Amino acid sequence: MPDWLAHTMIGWITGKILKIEVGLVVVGSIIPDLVKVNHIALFLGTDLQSFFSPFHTPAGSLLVGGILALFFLDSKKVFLAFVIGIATHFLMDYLFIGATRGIQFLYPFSWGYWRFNEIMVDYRFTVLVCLAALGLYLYYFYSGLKKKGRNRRSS
Amino acid sequence: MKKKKFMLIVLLLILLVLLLFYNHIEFGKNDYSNSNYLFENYQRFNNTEITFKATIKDVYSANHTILATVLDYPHTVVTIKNVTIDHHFQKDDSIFVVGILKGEKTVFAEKILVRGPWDDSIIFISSIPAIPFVLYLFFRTWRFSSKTLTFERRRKDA
Ligand SMILES: [Zn+2]
Repeated sequence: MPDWLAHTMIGWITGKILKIEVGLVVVGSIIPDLVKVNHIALFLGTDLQSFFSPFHTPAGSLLVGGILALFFLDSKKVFLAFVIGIATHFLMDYLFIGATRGIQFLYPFSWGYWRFNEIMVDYRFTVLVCLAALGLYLYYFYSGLKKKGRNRRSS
Repeated sequence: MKKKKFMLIVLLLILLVLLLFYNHIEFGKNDYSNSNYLFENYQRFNNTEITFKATIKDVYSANHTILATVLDYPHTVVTIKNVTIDHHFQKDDSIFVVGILKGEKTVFAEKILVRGPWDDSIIFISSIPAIPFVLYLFFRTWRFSSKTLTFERRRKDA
């Protein structure tokens, strides 16, 4: 299970590459981890995991994404961006295990976990993702500068 | 906000609350995320793949076996067999195990990840910068209008 930094960076990279608004994709990329509100409950001395665990399932996350998207004028477009963010989150959690057990893709019809067992990750994955995001950022930054320079010369 | 959208929000919220309550009611019968549940219901999960976190109690290199205490309460001690000792497993190592449940308290290991003592703290600490990152990226483009109760795009020339 990658941490939030890795999840949001993957969301950012995906949004950039697919040319979908990154601000919305990164929000989508952490919607499933709303399940972590249980940490607040644990801090207050009660375990509400039995209530909150559906947040970390596609069904629960899509419901939350759907509700949030309705607070925008162009709800469909926003929902699509959220869905892409949510999808990157589950793809990461499905591929990389280590702290979670995989994803309940078929919940609420089945409670079983699905996972791709080959890769276990730790903080080094986050470092790698951050470097990739930085590389992409610099690429866009310099290609933007070049474009500006060319436009100035031609005008 | 249009009335139709408002109604849809209410409908989806009700659906979400129902899902959370359904989960709460069924959780005790389906808590696959609690490894103790898997070991207690071993007949149901026998010969299936399970995962759990544990602490190594003893290593028997010659038998390719590890004795480990499961992290979840009540900290059942399980035997992990078929362990390839290419890694120097040590007593008190914190591990994440993927394996096939064989009987009441025995697991045939498929993969064992040794978790560093700081792994959970690192996940927590490295998650903190993500919060301002998300807030910045989002509110750079959107602002909430209390008049229309919707998020509106900030004007680029503003
Ligand atoms: Zn997750």
